Amino acid sequence: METPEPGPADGEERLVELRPRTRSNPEGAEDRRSSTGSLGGNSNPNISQPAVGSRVEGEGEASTSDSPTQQQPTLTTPVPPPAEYQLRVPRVNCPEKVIICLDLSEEMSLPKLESFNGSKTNALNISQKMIEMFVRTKHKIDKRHEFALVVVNDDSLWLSGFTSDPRELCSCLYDLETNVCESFNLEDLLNVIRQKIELPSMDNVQTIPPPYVVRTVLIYSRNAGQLQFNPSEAVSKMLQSPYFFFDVVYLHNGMEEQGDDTSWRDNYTSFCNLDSKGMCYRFEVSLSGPAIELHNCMAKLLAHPLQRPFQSHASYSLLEGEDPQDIEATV
Amino acid sequence: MSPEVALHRISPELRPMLCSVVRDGRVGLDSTNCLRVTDLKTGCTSLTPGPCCDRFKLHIPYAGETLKWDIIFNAQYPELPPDFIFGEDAEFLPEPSELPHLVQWDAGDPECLLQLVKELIQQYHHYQCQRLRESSRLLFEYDSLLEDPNYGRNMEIYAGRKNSWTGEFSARFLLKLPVDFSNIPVYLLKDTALDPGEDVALLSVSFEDAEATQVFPKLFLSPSIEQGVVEYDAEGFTKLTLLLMWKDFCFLVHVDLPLYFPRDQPTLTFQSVYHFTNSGQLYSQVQVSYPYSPRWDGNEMAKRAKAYFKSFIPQFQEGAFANGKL
Repeated sequence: METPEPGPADGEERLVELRPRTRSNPEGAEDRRSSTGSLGGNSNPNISQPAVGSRVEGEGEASTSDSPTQQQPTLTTPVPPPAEYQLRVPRVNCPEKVIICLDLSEEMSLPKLESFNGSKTNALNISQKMIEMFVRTKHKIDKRHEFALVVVNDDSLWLSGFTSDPRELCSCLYDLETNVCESFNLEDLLNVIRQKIELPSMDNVQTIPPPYVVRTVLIYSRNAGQLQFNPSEAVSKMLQSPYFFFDVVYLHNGMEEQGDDTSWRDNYTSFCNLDSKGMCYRFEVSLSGPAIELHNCMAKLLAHPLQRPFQSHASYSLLEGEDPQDIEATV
Repeated sequence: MSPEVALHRISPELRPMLCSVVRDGRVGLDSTNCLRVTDLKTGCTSLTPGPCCDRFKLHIPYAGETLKWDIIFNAQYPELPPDFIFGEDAEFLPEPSELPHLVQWDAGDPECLLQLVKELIQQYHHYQCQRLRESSRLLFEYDSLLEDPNYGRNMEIYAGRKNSWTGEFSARFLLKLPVDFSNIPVYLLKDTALDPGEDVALLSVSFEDAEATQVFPKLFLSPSIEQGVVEYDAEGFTKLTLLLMWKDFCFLVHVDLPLYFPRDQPTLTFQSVYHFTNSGQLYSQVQVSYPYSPRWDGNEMAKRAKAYFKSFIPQFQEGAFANGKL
């Protein structure tokens, strides 16, 4: 493979095209290009060099590399992390503890979703099936994964788990009923979770994989009222752990509310803002749309949180048309 | 030579250090990759009462090769650091100032030799990387990998001899996930190569000349594929699950690599995201005899796999809707 002499813009651009957007470089080399046009994926040059001698142990280097890993103080609106440096846990398929949180508000039983054969079905029905698909598939991929089920009414209730047997979880799944809910207490939900889990200690986050990670998948459909959330320090700490993930599927009524009611977009944005590390997955699906959309979200949530790309980079369209990025550059 | 025999024969003052090397000296997560010791000899006169061995060969797995370094102590002066002969790598001359455990050699620390060996391996890696500069193509590969903080520090590179006939330079890159407990690049299964590009699932990329007899395929190389990865076995790379979409429909493909891959072809299990069987299991279909050849390189395998998926998915989907339960 002949690469042209790297000239100012042209040569770099060529290099960028040839270098695939890989999982190791999820934002794409072109996104992380510094002003000098270099492809350095990291603003700290010390880190990108192979470890040589004592520099690995140097105090100076340690403090530089540690700064992005410092925990943010409790914030209600976390700032997204700088794009040029992300604290990444090794992409190991360690066991997951997945906590599925199912909203049981009455919106979930409104028959507005369009099923495959055109008839109407409700979100609870589809959720049950997709949750079953999810736990069975995860179990098939790795029998060490564990699951738990939480149902959310006005308060949250831990129904089952942790168990690695998908059947155990599924047995709790089909006896559920929806009811009218006054409010959604996110803090309560996260506290219920926090009391049931223990997050792995954070030593050498970037080099030593955790023994497991904890992932919450919230399937949520309330539209009325603004999301109120003032997390305690303990809850914030949990949210900010590199081993904790909070994925959300938001089923909304698709309408912009009139008057002083909050639109679903505001609530959705609030959920997105909880993700200070940029590592979580969020989906918004219309309650009156095709049910397949909901199924597909759950399928995308199968991805292991340590191995999946940033959500904005995920792409499943391998089979669609010609790949402009079918580059054989690395050979 | 078993570790016990070596420890029995080594001079007593050197025993703690050798013990640390043979017992704890891992350069990989796989315990079979312990450092091995052979050719234990002594520099003392034959009148010296044993045990008094003070020199040996250390076998170090590295990038698909085994380095054989001579480590030479002096039983008469056990407090002194050893000399090293780096096998046939006569040009490998590490800078002593880059070896902290040599500069501050502590004969009383049982870990000292092991740490020094690790530092030497790092220098050796550096040396190999330097040799890559003789090939602009490989250098590009190397530089690209280096820029990533996750992988730039966790590579093993073996830059082989130039082929005198073709002038080609051959090299092998071994990459691993940064899951190393001892700060030495991990040597993983060298015959299994699952590489979706310069990335996490890459194990071994061998740049051979035109007469290469070994194929190190890179399955699912295209970035678009790797973006659809659901989960993969990050240690042995024996399995991988992909999520694919076709006309708004999602499909899962579970790929299982057999032990003698690439000789034996992977098992593909297609799974519907929407359907169950009548008995409540996941609706899936296993394919073991699709078009395949172990002689394809990684790119070819990826292309063919994609073509196969495209041809098979429509009928799989039909079957799922016909026979599966929603």
